[in-house]
Amino acid sequence: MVTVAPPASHALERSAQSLPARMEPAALPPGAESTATEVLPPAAPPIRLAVLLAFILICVALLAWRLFYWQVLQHEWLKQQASSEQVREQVLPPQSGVVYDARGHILAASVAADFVSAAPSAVADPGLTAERLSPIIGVPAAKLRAKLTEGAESYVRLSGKVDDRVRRQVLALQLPGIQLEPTTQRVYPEGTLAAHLLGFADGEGQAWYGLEDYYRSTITGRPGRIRAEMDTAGTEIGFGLRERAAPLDGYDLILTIDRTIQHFAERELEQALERHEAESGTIIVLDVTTGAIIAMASYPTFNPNHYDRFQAGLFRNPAISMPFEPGSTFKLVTVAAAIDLGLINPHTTYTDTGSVTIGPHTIHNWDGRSYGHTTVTALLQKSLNTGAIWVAQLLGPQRFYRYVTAFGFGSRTGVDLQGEAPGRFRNSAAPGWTPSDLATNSFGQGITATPLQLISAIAGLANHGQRMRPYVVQARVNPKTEEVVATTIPTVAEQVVKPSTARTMLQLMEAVARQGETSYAFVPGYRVGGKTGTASIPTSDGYDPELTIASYVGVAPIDAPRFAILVKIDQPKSVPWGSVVAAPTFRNIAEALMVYYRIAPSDPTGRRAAQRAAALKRQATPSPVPSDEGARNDR
Amino acid sequence: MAAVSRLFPIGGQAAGRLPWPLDLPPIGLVCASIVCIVVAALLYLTQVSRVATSGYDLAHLEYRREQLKREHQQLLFELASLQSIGHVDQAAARELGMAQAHTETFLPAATLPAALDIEAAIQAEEQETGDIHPTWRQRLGALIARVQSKLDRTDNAGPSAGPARLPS
Repeated sequence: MVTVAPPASHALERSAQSLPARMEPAALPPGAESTATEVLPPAAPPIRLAVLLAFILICVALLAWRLFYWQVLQHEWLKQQASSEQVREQVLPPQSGVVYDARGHILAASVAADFVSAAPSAVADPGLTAERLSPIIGVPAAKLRAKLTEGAESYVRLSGKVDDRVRRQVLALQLPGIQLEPTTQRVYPEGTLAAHLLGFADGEGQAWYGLEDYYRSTITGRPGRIRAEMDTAGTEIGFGLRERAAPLDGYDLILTIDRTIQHFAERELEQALERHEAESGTIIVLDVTTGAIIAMASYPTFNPNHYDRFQAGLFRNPAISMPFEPGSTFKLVTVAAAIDLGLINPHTTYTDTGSVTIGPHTIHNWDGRSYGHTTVTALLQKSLNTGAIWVAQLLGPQRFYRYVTAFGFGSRTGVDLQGEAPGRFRNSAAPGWTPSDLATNSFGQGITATPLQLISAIAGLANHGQRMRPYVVQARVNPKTEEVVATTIPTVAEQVVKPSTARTMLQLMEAVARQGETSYAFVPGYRVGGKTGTASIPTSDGYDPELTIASYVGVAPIDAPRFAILVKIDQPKSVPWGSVVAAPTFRNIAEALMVYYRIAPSDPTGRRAAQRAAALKRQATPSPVPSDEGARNDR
Repeated sequence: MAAVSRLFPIGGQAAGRLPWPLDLPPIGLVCASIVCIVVAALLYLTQVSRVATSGYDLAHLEYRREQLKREHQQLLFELASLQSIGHVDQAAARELGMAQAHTETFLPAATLPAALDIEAAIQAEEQETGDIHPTWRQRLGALIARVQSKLDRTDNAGPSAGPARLPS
């Protein structure tokens, strides 16, 4: 007979004993004998239990401390770490705007493209990878292998922007460690058309020159960003954290340029350069009533799609960035100023002696001849330097330069294109100015102007004396809503001369263009007016005796002026004269404009033209020295 | 059982309490609670699963949308390139054999052999050939031949002085 064991100090033993002692007696059937003391292990020494308990307590305490440390003390840091892994922030690039011509043809747009890059540490076989990628992305295999083996371990870019075709080929290879980075690329579907005017965007999306640079922020828009929780595969977790600031897409631009006229101008320019073995040239077609630029062509040109294959010097737009001495075309400005002040009229006469001496300088007519008793009309028809000097002296320096400034010379026209140069001249208040400056300036020497400045001034004469601010963007459109958000309102830059003076000047320009009916600028059936220019090119030793810039500025049709056209051919080798080199190109463009814009001929039979020519011939005083240079009425 | 009753002192023993419509026995309440918890957990898991799946679907659709936008842009560019003046110019010359038009030169009427009497020329041709119903090709050919011979004679004899008629 065994009784219940006495209580022990060991906890396990106490529990083993106390539980049956507390609970079992009621459950044990009467008379049953307990065998507890037989199955219990021998009681452990109290010291071992105490050590074990202490060890467990220490472990628990340590764990509790670490838990407290990480969960409480390091809470923020851990949260940040988790967020950085789970929450990713991504920049959302805006969609750049599209540039359209006046009739809705795309001139510039953005398409998706990719950079091919690699994580070299993840590339299994750099040699094989390089060999397979090389023919697709057009980078030598040796160069690719070097990048994959010698470059950074985590990231290296293998190519520039590649198009969709290359992208598909790279994806099809399924090369480990090779990835595609989406980006956008600016493309120009018309190739070289209006390249100088448009400018371009480089591989990084940075806009350069022309319209792209001027309207950079408008076209590019503003990037957005997205902050969202991602899973381990980098996929956004639905209904997780998501903060999104939508990108603001760039506006579309509608230009005043008409690609048909632009193409025609570029083709005419190329043919003229080829015909006269010239190096470069510019053509501008301007709407005289608004100042809208319809065509702006320069040669040599470049392809903005492959800008990296061209020299950087070609990117500047000669029409606005490269001032030149306008030569005899400037005589229109001089004469207009004097007529506006009432000092002269087309019938006013003067005596042309063939040369004028001012201080140490003697200035001759372009042909060295003297024409005696000459009218202002004949002055322009024969392009007499001495006549222009006479008119400038009538004006005096202050009034002359006031008009020159009003015509827009010496300051930018304000055209919405990047890189416009102001041109320059030295007025009577400037240090170093001499009376000979007034004399040379009167016929376009010693004064520089950009082609756009010059044609803008002439367009003012064709627009009732109002010079308009030239522009190329007529509207900005929100691409999403297709709503016109801004329209360019034609702006009067300055009322340069009185409307009556402008009318007189148009008559004079027509007289010059129609001279002898053999003029190269004559457009059958239409009344046109203009003036030639053959400017010498200044060098460090004075003016080059061989090289010239042949130009023609004209207005068509003269009875209801709509277009002002400038043709400038640099350094022609065949013939130096503007009348032979530039005037025929003006005629071709004017004729094309009349047909394209369906402008009815004002004189289809030519009868009225003949009558006017006879009348003009009577107005002009016969020159004392017979002139056989009918077509070469230059300088 | 007594212990459970002590733990959950609800039910019929509660003195002075109104009877509850769902007057389940304690074990029933426990089971019902467990079932509710399980159902709620299942619902929660289902929703979470659906949300996760929707998230992937959403991501896939967004990716697809980007792809379509990309293709749309590319196609627009290709279309614009194909419609560009330079391309049309080349295609017209290469594929259609077209050439640039040259400026027409019109001759003054005085240098031509005056007015041509077409009907008379045709009648003459009919008389010569004996064919009173020539085809339009024959008529035209005959006319051109006669005009050509007339022009040749005019060139040899100098400019025509006045209106001339073809010999009938």
